[in-house]
Amino acid sequence: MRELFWRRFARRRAAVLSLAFFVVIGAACALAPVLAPFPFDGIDLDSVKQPPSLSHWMGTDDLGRDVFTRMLFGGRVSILIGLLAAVVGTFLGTAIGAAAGYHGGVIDNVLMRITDVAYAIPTLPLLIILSAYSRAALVSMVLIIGLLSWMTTARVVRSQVLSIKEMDYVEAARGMGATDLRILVRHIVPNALGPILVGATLGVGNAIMIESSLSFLGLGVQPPTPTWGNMLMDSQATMVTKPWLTLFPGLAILFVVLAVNFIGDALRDALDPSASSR
Amino acid sequence: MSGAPLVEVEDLSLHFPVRQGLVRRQTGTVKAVDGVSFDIASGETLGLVGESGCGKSSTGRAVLRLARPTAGRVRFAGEDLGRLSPASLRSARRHMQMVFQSPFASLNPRLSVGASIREPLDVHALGAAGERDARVAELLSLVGLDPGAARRHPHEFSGGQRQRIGIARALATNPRFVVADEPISALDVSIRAQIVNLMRDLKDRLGLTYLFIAHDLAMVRHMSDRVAVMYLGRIVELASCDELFDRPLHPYTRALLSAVPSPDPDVEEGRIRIVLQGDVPSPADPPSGCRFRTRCPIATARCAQEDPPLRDRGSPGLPHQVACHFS
Ligand SMILES: Nc1ncnc2c1ncn2[C@@H]1O[C@H](COP(=O)(O)OP(=O)(O)OP(=O)(O)O)[C@@H](O)[C@H]1O
Ligand code: SF4
Ligand SMILES: [Mg+2]
Repeated sequence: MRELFWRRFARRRAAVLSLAFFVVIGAACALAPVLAPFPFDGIDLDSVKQPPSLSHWMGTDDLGRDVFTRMLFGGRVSILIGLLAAVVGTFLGTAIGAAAGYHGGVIDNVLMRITDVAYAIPTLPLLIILSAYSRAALVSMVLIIGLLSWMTTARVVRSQVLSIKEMDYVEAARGMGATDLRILVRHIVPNALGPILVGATLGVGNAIMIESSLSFLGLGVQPPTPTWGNMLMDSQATMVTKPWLTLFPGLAILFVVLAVNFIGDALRDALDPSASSR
Repeated sequence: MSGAPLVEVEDLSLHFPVRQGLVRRQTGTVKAVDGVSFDIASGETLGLVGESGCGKSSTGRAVLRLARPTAGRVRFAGEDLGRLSPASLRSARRHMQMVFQSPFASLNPRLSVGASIREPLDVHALGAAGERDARVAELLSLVGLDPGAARRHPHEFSGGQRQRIGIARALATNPRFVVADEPISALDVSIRAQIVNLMRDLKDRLGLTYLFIAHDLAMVRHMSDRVAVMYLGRIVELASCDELFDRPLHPYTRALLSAVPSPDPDVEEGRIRIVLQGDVPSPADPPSGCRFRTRCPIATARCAQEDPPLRDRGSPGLPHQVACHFS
């Protein structure tokens, strides 16, 4: 089954390239302290706003800080927020969706109405309010984004659980005396893993976008800690005159989010149960 | 086959609400099982036959309390299963297991075969954790599979092999009672006999008691000590295997048997095929009086008014229950 999955995944060239791209970028950012040619807050007032050159591959900003260095450190924060927020959202969504689908009845109704309401809340304004009141640390960023992005996963998981719980192997587990928790954790959720993973992948891209938007509005992670989002914000005024300051973080966000979405799409196809059943 | 029966089913019913429309209002009731009673003695096999949709699986599920009966009682080893707390019921499940119809749907595709068979041992904490894998190997050999199969996944096996895995899982906790819900009807004809013989063999070796559900009469005859015939949620005839096959009393049973070729050439020559008219009525709206009357070749006006009770029409020492006014 695993081999088949990889074979189907590998057929999607865009997804394989995306995965390679994401791994390389992720590794480079993770290794930022080792790889970066300068300290991330190394101000050098003698060389401010330099265009890309051999010594500063992506130029420098208005404080003379090396943009390449800041891209690496910024990516670390942005990608980490993306990954962690996706984990939080996926975990919440899976738990809520599984509980709703498995128990049905009143529990299902209540949980799904809560989900509807959460869906209906316009995310960005709420995020703005929340982040205005919380110190924009990495942890609160992750929690806020995670808490506002579980709904799609909850719905998908619920509908999966509704069909999986009718399977004979679930009845067999109940018949052998297994508890509900055991049935959920061992039999139901593992069989809904495909859509959960797809949702998680797409959640990474989504969280990176949200973090950027918030940073762009000045509500994200605060300087001097760089993120791609706040680098983008810092560069708005000089977008035309110093385009490299906007271009690099902008492209990084664009390509990473694109890559993650390609990976998610390919996962969805590769895990499609209707085709991988034998 | 002495002493109190192992399983006592009394007036068991299992109804499902029929919901329709936008607000899912209940518009009717499917009486999948409607007042069924039978006993199964320890070590006995009771066959349960009937057409598709007559409520065989529902009966099996209600007996094992995989579905909560609408009415009636199931006693297992003298204990009323309906009165057990959820935790006691879970622990009682150790003694009663199910083998499913579809060997493809009954095994979790994500678990290795060993993990599937081991699960009941883990659930009931049977044996030291380290000994459970040895027990899994033993169970695999018991059902005629190589113990190395434990590491592999269900999709690597054929239907027949998977059914053996399902049987091994059902037997892991050393149950006394097994409900086998059409364990062979999803299998290739060529391997059905193997599985049936395996189940017979296991029954003898382990002293099992079976409720064997099937719609293949020949298989039921081969497996069972007694046979119950179901029609639209009711048992219409119940007798020992030989008695039922040699002297069917209910018109429905006669029709079913008339469709089975006999191995005896003399009997085969005299066999007259009774073809039933019409379709099985909907279990949401069963006919008044006798439920079989819409298809019964000998129905009279009385049949539409009076519901025939299941009564013993056998000879002394040879019980033969039947639900028909005219037999
Ligand atoms: N969960 C359920 N909800 C609603 N109706 C059900 C449910 N399970 C069974 N039924 C209905 O109850 C009736 C009896 O079904 P059951 O599965 O017990 O029949 P069966 O004799 O096992 O048939 P088969 O030979 O096809 O397995 C059918 O009309 C079926 O549609
Ligand atoms: S009671 Fe009447 S309808 Fe029913 S089986 Fe007997 S003869 Fe037929
Ligand atoms: Mg059935």
